[in-house]
Amino acid sequence: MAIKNTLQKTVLISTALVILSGIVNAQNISPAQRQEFSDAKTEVNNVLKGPYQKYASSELRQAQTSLQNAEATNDPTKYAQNTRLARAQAQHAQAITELGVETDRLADTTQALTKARDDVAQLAKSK
Amino acid sequence: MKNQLIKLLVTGFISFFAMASYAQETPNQAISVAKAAIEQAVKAGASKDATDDLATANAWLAEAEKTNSLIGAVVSMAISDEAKKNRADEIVYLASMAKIKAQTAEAKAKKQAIVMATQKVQKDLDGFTGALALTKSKQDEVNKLKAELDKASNSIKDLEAKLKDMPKKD
Repeated sequence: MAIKNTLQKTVLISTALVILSGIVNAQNISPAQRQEFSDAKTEVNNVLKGPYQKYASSELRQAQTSLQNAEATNDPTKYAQNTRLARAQAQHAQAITELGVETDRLADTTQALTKARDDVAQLAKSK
Repeated sequence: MKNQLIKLLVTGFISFFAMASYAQETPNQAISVAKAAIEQAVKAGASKDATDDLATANAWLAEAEKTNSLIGAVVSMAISDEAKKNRADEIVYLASMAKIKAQTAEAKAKKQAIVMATQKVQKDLDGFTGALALTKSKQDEVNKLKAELDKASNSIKDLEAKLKDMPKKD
């Protein structure tokens, strides 16, 4: 009976210690780091507003994964690293999206130019 | 028994390759990848068109190389396995940041080049569109004149016919 009680106490104390260490670690994440996380999240949300799906869905997924990794950790160093990675990955996704949009615009303009050239040539022939 | 052994071997191979593919890259590999990304960005014109991102990429790379330096390696000999792993993770993180920033710089530089190309094509297009409009309006004018000419020539023919039919005066 005494052994059972001791075992129960040990389990309870261990559990309490694990929870407490988690709380202590979570408290180690500073308000500045939380602000950085919030900025990274905003950056990701900004990309979500644009046509990222056509051009940078895998890049944005990486950013979202990094955000999730930051949220999942209690280690302040890993939290900061994943937050910065997420922000950089979101900026990369944005840059890739803008590049894709401009590439499509160039293709459209080139197509319009080819059509205009053909029209002019046809008009010259019909004279 | 033989089948079980084969199954075991196949499972072992699959697990090995799965683990190998998921294995984290080493600090040196991460640094090499970041350097290649920076070179690629420079080739794309980032030194001119994405200076800030390229500078940031170089700063992250310098930090990664500093942490991965020989002195760092010597120091790491005296530290625990966990500290060694943390140091390796830190270097991979720094190099990853350098790589992402370089890739961002590359994308921005490429975008700039494409914007310039689009502007040039647009200018040509404007020229052709203008020429096309002018040619079309001239064509319309010519068609109008032709129609008037046809009308006039028909009137002349009518008049000539009427003149023929008129009794001659002696």
